[in-house]
Amino acid sequence: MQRRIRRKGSWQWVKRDWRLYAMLAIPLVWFLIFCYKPMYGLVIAFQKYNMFKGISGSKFIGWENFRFVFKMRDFGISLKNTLLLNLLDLLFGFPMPILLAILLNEMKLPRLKKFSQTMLYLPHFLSWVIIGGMVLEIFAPTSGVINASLLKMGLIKKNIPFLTDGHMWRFTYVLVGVWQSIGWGTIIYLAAITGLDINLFEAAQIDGANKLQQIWHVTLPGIRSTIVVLLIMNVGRMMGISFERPYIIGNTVVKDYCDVISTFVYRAGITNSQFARATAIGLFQSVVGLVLITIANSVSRLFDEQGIW
Amino acid sequence: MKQVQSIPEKKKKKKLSTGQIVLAAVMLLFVLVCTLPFVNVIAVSFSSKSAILRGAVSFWPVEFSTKAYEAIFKDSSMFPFRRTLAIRTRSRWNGCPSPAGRRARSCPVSSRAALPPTCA
Repeated sequence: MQRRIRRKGSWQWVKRDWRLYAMLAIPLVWFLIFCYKPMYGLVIAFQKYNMFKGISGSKFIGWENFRFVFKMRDFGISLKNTLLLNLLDLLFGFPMPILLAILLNEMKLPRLKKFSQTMLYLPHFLSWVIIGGMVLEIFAPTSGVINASLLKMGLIKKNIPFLTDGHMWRFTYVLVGVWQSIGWGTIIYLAAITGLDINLFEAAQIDGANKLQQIWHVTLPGIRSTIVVLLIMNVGRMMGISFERPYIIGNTVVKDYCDVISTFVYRAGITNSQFARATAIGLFQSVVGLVLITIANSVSRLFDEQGIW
Repeated sequence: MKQVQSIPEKKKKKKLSTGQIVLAAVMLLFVLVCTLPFVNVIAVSFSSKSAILRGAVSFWPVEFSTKAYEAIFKDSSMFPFRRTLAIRTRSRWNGCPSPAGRRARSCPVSSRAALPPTCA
């Protein structure tokens, strides 16, 4: 039976599993329409784009847009800020969910565990606009709860400029990011930990491993591939940065610290209708992101880990 | 299940080890960090303006007031659905030359093309 099907070719499989292929077609069509077709618009990065003439009518000018953008002072600043903020996010935001997931997994009280999980997921469901409002409220000088209570306790003499000093702003940015994503990030690790073979833990226990040793030698190696995949994806996103978070937490006082590529594109490209230049930056961002993700994947394969492809 | 489990083991399970207590404390700390900002914002929303500016509000309203909420509910732009509804019902008569015609609902202008661009 098997041999006969194979001789008839792969078409036989399609015929047999056509329902599965039909289901596969839906996301494929989605990708074609919403991810690949818009790529045609990237052409305007190389054009002196005129909205009224359209893509076919605009003049082709090669790399002129890229040259212009790379010379802008704000572009250098925003590029640096993007990389730095993402790096800080990776350093502090990436390990925290792993730690929390392990802690949650070790909890024996099911009620308390479920309660804490629900509470930890809470910040994820707020939009950045709401979080931005809360951040401005909580970190405000004098009236903000953090500054007010620290002053009251006598721990500080004057207000900490959480939002108005460049370095402090970076700290606030990362802190808020970790706060927002820590709970939600645990889900995938918890799933990975739950999938581990319970016999391994029992064997380790019998061998006399204490809790920390069990975590170090069983849990962490068990979720290693999950961690690596997520790390690769995070490194691939190093160049891209969400628009809302820096835009909403940032303010004009710390302009040189909070201006990132996405806000720069919005400010310089879209509000000034410089669509061609905005597209050029976007294309540059995507290409660098692609290079980064390829490097990260190759490195992880060098270390005998499974990559994402 | 009950038959398999021996009695002393059951007793052992009920008792919490110090590790578990420390773990629960750490977890509660995380939970507090994640929820206290909400508590603070709610407390601030119910406090008077002067108390907020003094920095007196932490996790419980100081000088309780509902002025903020009253202001919100008075501001009709807070409710986009209401505005949208108003525009939708009104827009058919927007292009009418006279208010009288609008009131009489006998306006000849009813196509979308005739409406001013803001309505479309």
